[in-house]
Amino acid sequence: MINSRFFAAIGMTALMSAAAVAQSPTAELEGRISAATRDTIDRLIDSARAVGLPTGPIAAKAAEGVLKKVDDARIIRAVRNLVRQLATARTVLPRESGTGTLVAAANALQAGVSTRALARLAAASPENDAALAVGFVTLADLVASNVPPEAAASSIEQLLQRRAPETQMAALRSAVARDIQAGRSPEDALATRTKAVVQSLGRP
Amino acid sequence: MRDRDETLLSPTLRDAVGELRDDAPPSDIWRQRLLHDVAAAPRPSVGTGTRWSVRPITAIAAAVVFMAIGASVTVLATANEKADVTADATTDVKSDAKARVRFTFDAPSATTVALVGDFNGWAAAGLPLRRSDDGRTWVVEVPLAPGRYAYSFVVDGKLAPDPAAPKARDDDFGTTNSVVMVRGGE
Repeated sequence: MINSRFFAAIGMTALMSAAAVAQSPTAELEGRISAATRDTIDRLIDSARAVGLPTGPIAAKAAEGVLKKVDDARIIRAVRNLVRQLATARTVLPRESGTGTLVAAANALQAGVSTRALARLAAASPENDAALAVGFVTLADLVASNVPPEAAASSIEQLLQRRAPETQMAALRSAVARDIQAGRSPEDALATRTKAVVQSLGRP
Repeated sequence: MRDRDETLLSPTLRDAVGELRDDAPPSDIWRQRLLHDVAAAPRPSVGTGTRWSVRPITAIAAAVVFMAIGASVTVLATANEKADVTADATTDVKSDAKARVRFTFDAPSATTVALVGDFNGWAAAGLPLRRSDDGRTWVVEVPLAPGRYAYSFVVDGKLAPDPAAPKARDDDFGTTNSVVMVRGGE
């Protein structure tokens, strides 16, 4: 009887441990990074969860680093940056903003866009979370094409104020990238293309 | 030991010890009062139900069932969360359906090709591509909500960017990702 109870207890403990591991957001990383690094990432994810930030993108960032075989310190730095950027984005976005918008805003911050610029864009599209997300994505891509962040933010702000559809945002991004590849300066390309889109949309 | 010690006692003391050791029968008055009190006392509410007792194997089986139920609830909650995000992202673009995005990669000599990216949390297992009939091209279709996704192929265990897609510098890890934009309908 004692033996059966003992083994039952062992079995229960093993099952509960397995369940706990399965629930860990970084369970997939077990054995692929050091235990200390995984603990640090788990703590960062816990702290993000505690303040209402989405944890999926944070765990994905860690997994991406592991997959790319970068060192643990760099993974922790990247995860910590993302948590900070998500938290900053949360302060300027409407409470009801979705995860996609929050991540897009964090990426824009990562690209070099200022918090003030993010707030201006959020104010330009207060009730349209999807349009705001597209705006942030377009903004980050423009900055990645060497367009100055403030100029890019002003262009996107104008488009959001005029309720530009997603196709217009995509068209602006593609046209500016094409013009830059053709040898135009990023500032000129942005100004010219933004003007054309704004004229087609009319007044806000 | 005790018996041997008692042999050392005097006969008088040995008799006294023997009397003390005998159970003194309770008096008739005490016994009747006890029986009366027991009969008069209300039946306790606690302990009158069935006593539950399970075998260890039953307990383990129950634990497994409860954990399975818990896991199902978690999966459902996660699925709902994803559905909400999709709904949010497509509110304005008037498309609540995910687009089936086709990813292809030419690698005739590869043994395995998988897809990893934002859409699968960069999980190492990745989404496996299947070799097409021509034997050169690997293909997979992934349902994706409107948005921007960074991704890469994993060819025989090594990351390989999509040569046919735009690239985005990944400053966090000093690498380059491929990028796909999924647009919603309007």
